[in-house]
Amino acid sequence: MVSSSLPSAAFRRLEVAWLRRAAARLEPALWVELIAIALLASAFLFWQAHVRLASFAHDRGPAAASLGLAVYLTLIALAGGAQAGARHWARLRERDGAPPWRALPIPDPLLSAHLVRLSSLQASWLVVPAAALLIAAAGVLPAPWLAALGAGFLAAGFLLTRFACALALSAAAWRSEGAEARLHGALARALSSASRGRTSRRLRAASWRRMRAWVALWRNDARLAWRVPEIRRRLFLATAAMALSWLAWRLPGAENAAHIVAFATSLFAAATVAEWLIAVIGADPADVLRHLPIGLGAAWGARIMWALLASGALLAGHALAAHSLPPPVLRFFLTWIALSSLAITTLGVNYGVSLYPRTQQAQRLLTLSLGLSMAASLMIPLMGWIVLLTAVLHSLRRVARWRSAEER
Amino acid sequence: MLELEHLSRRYGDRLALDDVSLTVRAGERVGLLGPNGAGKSTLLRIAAGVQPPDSGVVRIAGEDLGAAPIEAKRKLGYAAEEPAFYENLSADEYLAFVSGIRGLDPEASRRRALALAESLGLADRLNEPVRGFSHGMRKKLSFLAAVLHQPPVLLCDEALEGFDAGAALAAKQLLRDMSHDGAAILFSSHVTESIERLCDRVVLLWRGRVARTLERAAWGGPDHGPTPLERELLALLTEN
Repeated sequence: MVSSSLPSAAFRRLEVAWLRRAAARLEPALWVELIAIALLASAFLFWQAHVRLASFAHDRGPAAASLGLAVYLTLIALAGGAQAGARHWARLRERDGAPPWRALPIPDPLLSAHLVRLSSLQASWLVVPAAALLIAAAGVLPAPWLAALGAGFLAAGFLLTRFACALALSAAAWRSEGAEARLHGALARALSSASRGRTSRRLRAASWRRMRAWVALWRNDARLAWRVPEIRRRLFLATAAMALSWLAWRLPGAENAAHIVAFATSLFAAATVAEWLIAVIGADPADVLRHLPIGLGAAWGARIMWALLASGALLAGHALAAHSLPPPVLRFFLTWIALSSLAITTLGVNYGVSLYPRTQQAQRLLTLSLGLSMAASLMIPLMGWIVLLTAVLHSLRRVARWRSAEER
Repeated sequence: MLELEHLSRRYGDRLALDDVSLTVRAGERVGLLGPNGAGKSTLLRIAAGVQPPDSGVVRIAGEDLGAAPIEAKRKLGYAAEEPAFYENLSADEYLAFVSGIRGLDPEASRRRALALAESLGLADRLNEPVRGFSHGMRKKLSFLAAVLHQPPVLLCDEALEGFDAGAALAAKQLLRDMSHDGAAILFSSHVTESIERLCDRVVLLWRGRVARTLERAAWGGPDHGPTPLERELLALLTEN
């Protein structure tokens, strides 16, 4: 008889190997950059939180400050839970039918726990801001309270990620049909019914045209933007964010702050476009691109064209929505939006191309770079621009790495 | 003509290719034979520009693949062992994309694609997304995309494995016609029968090295048409 501890040990070894592999896929220079960005973002958080906590503790006492810190830590843990749940949902739905490894004699609870651990790992980066907040409270709050808050955060993070993954599993399994639902457990239902809706359907005949390589790629992107669910979702989000930024000019009761809200939401919209572009670039199958006569210029140029189009659309929307502004003010505002949007979307393209095909790392680096730019802007006015443009130029120098993507 | 000079490639501690040199002349069909892990796919992936060698040079119809990859790849067709596609495109859209990237005449290449799809038994499925294709259909599509532009150099990595008998016969005839028209074809397989019947010369790979090169006279197999079983199947296909 086989001991039940054996498969769980095998899963642990698999997870360690998976982590090692994930770490090895990132070259050392990029690790240094990621750590540097994380440290800078943490330093910003520390700087922001320390003063506020100290003043809060001074005014209302350490108990109130602890409560405030606990609220922030809970929010971070909730964000971690949401991220893990979303990843788990995607993990369960990403295959066509049951995966072949379902044939292995693995008990469902073990398999489920393994998949949950993998999905929860996605949220582990949130430990960084939480640690920064806890360090910021050092010297302000008593050490035992800090230890309790830290332990509480870890416990909440653990429970919330598991809860979110359980919700994702229930939602994925809920879609399966009646007979299956009666016969199998939730995991079996979720895995076997994954992506079942994507049955083959006939598409319109293609239009065969003579075109340049970048145009062919660009047209392909347009098709895939509608057909690949992940890319479509990001496109909807980007479009919604753009619409939101235009609507900011019509915010009731906030006429004086409309330009600030419009600018902030347009930055957010540009970031969502950048994320969409990274997803688009990541959808290129490496083996297809490698043997076809497609150069870096075509791969980068097709996506920069999207960045230009999106920035243009954002700009045009604001030009229409804010037409009542005095012309010099409007020109200033539009220039500001055009430059920031172009810089952010170009950064997305550069990260997508230079880190191809590691889409997740590119998304993460984009988030960190934009977060750092925001933090820098809040610390020293206009400093964010310097950080953002430095990131754009630095990433531009790295786009040639696209050519060696097959090495990763 | 395809020239591979002193190609080496290492995966960690394992030497997948060790100073391999070979030439495929215009109009020649060269078989690459070897057991699993002998380095056949690595050699073809390097020759196709899918992955770079650690050292060595690849020349496609006179173009250095390392120095002028775009020009070299224009003259190259590559049917992969495990083909990758844009899964959400239809086969027709994928072929139109490849045609566009290669700058082919749209109408001529569309007609050729249809004719090839017909001969490979893929014509009915051209408007379906590739993600719904079986392994054999994916291999057919990869082969079709590789020969669409009638390249002077064609690399086939286990290209016909997974084909049904009728499609395999059609593909073999196409390969013969292409080499007759001057294409240099490097065809890898671990199935000796395909190579025996198709190739003029065979390179035996063993642990990443060229172990032996054999001319057709060495195995004496005639390059004839279908086997008796294939004839029966063809007759059945023709009747239905």
